Amino acid sequence: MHNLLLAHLLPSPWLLATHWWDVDFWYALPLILAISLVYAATRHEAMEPLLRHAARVGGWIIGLMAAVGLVLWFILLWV
Amino acid sequence: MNQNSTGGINGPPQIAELHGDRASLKANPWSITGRWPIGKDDLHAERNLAENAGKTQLSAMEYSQFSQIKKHPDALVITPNRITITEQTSHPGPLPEGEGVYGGNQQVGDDSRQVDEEPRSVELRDPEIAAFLGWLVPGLGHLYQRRTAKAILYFVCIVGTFVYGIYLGGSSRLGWGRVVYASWNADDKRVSYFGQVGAGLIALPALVQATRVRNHNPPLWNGFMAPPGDRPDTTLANLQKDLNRYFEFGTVYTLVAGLLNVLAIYDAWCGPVFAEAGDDDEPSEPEEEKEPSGG
Repeated sequence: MHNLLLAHLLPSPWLLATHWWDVDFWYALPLILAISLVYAATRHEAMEPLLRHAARVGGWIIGLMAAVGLVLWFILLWV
Repeated sequence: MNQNSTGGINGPPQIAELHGDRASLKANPWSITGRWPIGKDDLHAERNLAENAGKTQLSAMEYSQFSQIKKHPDALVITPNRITITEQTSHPGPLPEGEGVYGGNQQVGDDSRQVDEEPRSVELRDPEIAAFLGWLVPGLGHLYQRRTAKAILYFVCIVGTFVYGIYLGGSSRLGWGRVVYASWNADDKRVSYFGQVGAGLIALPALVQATRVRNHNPPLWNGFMAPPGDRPDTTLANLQKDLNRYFEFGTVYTLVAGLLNVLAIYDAWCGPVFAEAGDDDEPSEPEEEKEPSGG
């Protein structure tokens, strides 16, 4: 019963995975890392502000993706 | 103040003069017109300025290089209708490591102040060669410009992403790198290759394989980056079935790597787009509360 409830609440990618580390979302992390660093590198020359900027950009991307995921999750619950 | 090319009344000799309304310059700095009677200068922009001698209009890039004048604030005098650059009598000496002839996207007439102390100028050497090298091997253009840290960063991020995409989009049985291929058949137009080829040399084997397949020769290297269909088990449908979602993952990784290298190439060509004060990307200093005027 508990598992059934969880199955309704969790987004489908989580359901397809046997373990939490099997989730495909992890494939986004190296991309986010590379995109953040390269983007920040086009805005700075010194490493310290570059890394700070990259962390900020990465946070933004993750936050935005989480927000979109949340919206999709609500839609999933609705339909 | 009236100055001429042989020297100012009370100041150093004038080497360049640009005319234009300051408001319009701020609105469209790329349209600055003026004359460039430059024979020599002491602004660490000798090459760039000398190449523009006699020109009456600056391109965006030339203007950007010209904005190196920010390194010598005294050399630049802006009045409402005139921008004057004067020769610097005191040479600032050799530039510190990491500084050079390029001043980013600073605009003449822009009163904004920089928000941190990182170097705002970069020696780009020959930007076109650097851009080409940057396309050939990600980071090589920056290495050529002696921007070693960024060269390593670009190389690791872009080549690492591309190679991981090649690994995801292939297997020892099907051949590696099956997601990077050049094909323009009616039933398989591989548009994403246009982005992947931005990664440079590392994506070019796909062209070799495509040429061989077009000439009815078998692909090399166990089908590495070969178009689908070279074997019965490597049709596009089979690749997508066997590789499953990793076909898409590999495509996205390699595509993103190629597009990221476009940013790196631009950085090698024109220098970093430094953030200005007030830019949302930059932490801004807390503003002091304004004292009420009067009383």
